[in-house]
Amino acid sequence: MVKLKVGQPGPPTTSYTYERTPWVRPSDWLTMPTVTETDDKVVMLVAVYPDAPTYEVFRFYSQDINTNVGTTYQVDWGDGNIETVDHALDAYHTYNYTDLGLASAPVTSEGWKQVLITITPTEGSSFRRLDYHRSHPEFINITFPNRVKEIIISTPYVSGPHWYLGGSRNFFGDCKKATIIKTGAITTAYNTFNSFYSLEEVDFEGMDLSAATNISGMFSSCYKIQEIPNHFGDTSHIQYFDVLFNFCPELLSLPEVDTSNALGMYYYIRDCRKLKEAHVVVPSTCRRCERIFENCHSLEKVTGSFDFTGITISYGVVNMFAACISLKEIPFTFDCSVVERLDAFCSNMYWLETPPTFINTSNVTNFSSMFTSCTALKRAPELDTSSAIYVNDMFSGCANLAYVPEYDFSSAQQCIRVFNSCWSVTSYPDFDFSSATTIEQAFYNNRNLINFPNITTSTALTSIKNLLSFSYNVLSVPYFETANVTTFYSAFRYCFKLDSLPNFNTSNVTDFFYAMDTMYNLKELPNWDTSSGTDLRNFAYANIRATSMPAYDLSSATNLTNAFRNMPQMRVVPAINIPSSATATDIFRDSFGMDRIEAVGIGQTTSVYNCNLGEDNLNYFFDNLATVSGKTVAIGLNPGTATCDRTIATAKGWTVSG
Amino acid sequence: MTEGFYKFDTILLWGPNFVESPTYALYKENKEDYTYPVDGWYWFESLEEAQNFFGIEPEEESEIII
Repeated sequence: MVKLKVGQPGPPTTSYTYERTPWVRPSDWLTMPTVTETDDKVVMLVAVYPDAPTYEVFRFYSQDINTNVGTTYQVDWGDGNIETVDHALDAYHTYNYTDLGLASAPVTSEGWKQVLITITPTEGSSFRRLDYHRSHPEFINITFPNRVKEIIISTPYVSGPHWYLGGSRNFFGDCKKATIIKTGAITTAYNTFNSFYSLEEVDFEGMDLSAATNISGMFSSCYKIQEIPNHFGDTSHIQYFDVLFNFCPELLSLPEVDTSNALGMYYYIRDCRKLKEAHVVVPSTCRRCERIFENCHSLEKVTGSFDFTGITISYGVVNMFAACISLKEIPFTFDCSVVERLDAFCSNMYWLETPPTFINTSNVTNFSSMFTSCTALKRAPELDTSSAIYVNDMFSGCANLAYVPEYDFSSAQQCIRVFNSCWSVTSYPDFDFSSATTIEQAFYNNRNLINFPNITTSTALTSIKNLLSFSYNVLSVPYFETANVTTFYSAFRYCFKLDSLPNFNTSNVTDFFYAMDTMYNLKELPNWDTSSGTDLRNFAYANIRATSMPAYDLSSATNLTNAFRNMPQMRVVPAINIPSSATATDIFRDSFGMDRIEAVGIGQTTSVYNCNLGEDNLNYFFDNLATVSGKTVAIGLNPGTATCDRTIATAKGWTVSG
Repeated sequence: MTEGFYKFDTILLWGPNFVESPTYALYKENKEDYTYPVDGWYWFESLEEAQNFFGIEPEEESEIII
């Protein structure tokens, strides 16, 4: 282990020390030749594996130094073959492990043979462009195995836009060390080391970036790199830094990069999972900077500055600090005057205690997931949400959230799970959801909530699915507009302490599944319009204190399984008509105080098991059953089970069990 | 005690003491006399035995999903 002190001249240095595991070049690798700045040469150490042939292909552009006419270039394949290839044509070669002589291609301790490929322009010429993104003509559709282990490049005449090294072809995926001795004044270093998955040692001091405008993706997906030296030089003229260090999960420190004139910085250090500190400057010129710190799991400190006044509206600043799970504070004020999207800005920051300050958010339309799973957050920040359209999951999973200020949600259309599982909130301010089409799961699992806030809704609302379920301690729910709501699925399930529910307008509700399931304290079932209800499974299941129910209109019901099961204090079921086609499994079962059921028309297998029906009332229940074939009615554990007249039912085609 | 006549028809049906249909009748006291199944009905000594026979998972309580 080597202890290194990070910090080079320039603003500001990182303050921590870190331990890097230095890469040690295996002693049995072939020695790389010395390459100098005056050389025009590329040298690659290539592995040849025993299990498959190794294919090499690349295209170099070699031109006469004086006339710029295309010439030829020479490739020494390292196995005794030397080839001259025309300018701008592919050089390709196949190595076979068994054919390689050990003298020229000694076996390494890792089991592969090795060759040194040397590529040079013919005399009087110079390389002007390199292209490693070629397909071997005999194997166009083959994904090439990683095989270049080390590369040295000195191409002093490659300049302008013609520098093209790394990228998605995985050509250098196994390369451990790369050295750039010399380039001309290139204008783009885009993707230079992108997808050098195994890179552990890099020296790019010889890259001339003085004319460069784009270094985007330069180190993206360098999975093994722990340290990148300060070889960028002055980058104040460079405009594009997008994805620059994206997905360098082993990177321990950031080299110094001047981004003061950046136009693009998105994904800048995303997925740098071991980085503890980062100094990042987003200038006012920057148009895109979303997801800069996303998944920087070890990040403990952020310095720098963030000016969002140049951000392109459509991209916003989404996921900026998402999943920075070690970061406890973001001590910045973000001016969001031109920002439309803040979604997931701080999502999954489990230890965030102090949220950043956001000002001028009146143009932000998307706040979705902004603080999702910020489990340490106790106070929600003040925000101008007057233009919010999407607030889905905005504070979902903020288990320690105790204070929520007033938010203007009057424009919000999507409010799904906005305060889902906010276990510590005891009260909310009132909310205006008058534009909302859904408030599904909005206050789900708010275990300590006592008073449900006054909420304003409108006919735009179509769903209150899981609105308040598992919010055990809520004592009251005020009326709100539900005229066009179609689903009450599990809306108040497990609200143990609610003793009443408003007479909501439920005329368009089709899904009542679990709507009032297990509300132990509900004394009277609300007079809801159930005429459109098709799914009423577990509708009022286990309402153990309910003593009366209205004559619900169940004319549209298709499934009434467990609908009125386990209601021990309900004595009388009024004369409700039940469609004979509606599933009625266990509809009244275990309601052991129920001594009269006037329901008419049951035509599917059903149960009044464990009720309180005497002989006469069981006979009456049989009288009201539909005529069927192959259906069963369970009547066990009723006072009249043994003495009732079962022939009333069997005469209608029923099988009676008891 | 959960002994009784059991039948699986989408759901598990149970008659602890009797089953009467328009065409047959089963009574607990005569349970040894029948050749099972009778219209799908079997005699089992317990609910678990019936569930095992029909390959039915025991009912589980709902869990909170966060």
